[in-house]
Amino acid sequence: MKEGQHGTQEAQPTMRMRARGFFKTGFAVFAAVTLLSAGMPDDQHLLDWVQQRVRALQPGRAERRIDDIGWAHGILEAEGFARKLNRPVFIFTHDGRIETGRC
Amino acid sequence: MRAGPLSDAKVISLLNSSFVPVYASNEDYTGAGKAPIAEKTERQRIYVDFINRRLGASDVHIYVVTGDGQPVEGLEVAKATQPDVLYSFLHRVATKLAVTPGGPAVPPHTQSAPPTVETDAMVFHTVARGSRQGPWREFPGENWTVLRPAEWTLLLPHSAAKVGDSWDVPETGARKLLTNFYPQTEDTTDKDRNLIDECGLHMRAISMTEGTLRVRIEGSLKMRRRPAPGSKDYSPLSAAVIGFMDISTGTPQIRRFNLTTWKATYGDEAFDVAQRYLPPEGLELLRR
Repeated sequence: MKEGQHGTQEAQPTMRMRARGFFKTGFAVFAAVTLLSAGMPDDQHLLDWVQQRVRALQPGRAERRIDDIGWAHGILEAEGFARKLNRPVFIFTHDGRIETGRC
Repeated sequence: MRAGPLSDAKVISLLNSSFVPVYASNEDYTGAGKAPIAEKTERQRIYVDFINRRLGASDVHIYVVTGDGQPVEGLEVAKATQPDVLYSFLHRVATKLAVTPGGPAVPPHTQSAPPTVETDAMVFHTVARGSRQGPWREFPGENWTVLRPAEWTLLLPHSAAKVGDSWDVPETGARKLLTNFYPQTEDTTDKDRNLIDECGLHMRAISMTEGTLRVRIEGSLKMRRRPAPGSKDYSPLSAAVIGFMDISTGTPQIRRFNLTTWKATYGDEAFDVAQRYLPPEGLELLRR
């Protein structure tokens, strides 16, 4: 065995394993798509179908009533406005993101 | 709160006319959160002040303070979400302080707004809806995803494509777009808690019109996600997605990108997701 050949022989199985892993994952994704995609719109109807569905899933006005409230951009800004307008500050502390619904 | 009193017209009107409302996410206001130090200090001072004065305090709570930050009254969220409790509370506080009603201190504006990004970045908006009713289902979950050039180029073909050509998006690109394809769950932080097992997007060029290549997108996602940060068990999630992308062929640039679920389940619940690219020219309108 020539010098350096050992390293090459060591590397080959690893590369094969990686390639096998890649194809395995690729095949799993392909299989999942094939399995779940039966009945999907054909190319001709794709644009209309997808656009219609994306539009239908957007948040509606009633779901965005939170936008009707004039929220300050921070507690200190709110206190500044409150001093100026002689009003109290309403502070709601919470977990997550109330504005995106991921809360 | 958002689905209950903060969607109530009477509460909204009173908050706008007689208070200066602000909300503060605990994630931003504690530890390494993104709120400025001065904001965190003031939030903590108010919390401690309410405790010391035995006015009640909690991480999830309503505090009313004067412009000088002095405590007025507090309200537990569990009470505030009961019918008319928050309105009565606000009305009583405004009357006690003899507030003169007026217009909103800050003009109402969109709260879930696109982030400010570099001109060469792409902004995607995702909307997710579980099919059940009840908590976390009163309004959709939204996410904003920003792809920088090194990321959005992953969606493009390696070389000039023609109708009939197909290619796969590298997994890093697919993950970034699909990781928010889950229905509303209890999310106390932005921390990614998905365990993605499989994720892929397959592209196929289907037509060419006046320098624009239309691409059909199909893909799938299999992952596990806990319904709440403290949950022990992971629920399986499976989604097949479909969409389209328009690419201008001169300097390859994505002009349109729409993706949606075809069939998706989280545990035994069906859910729907819509994701679209928002071009720079429309972002400012969405921030108003």
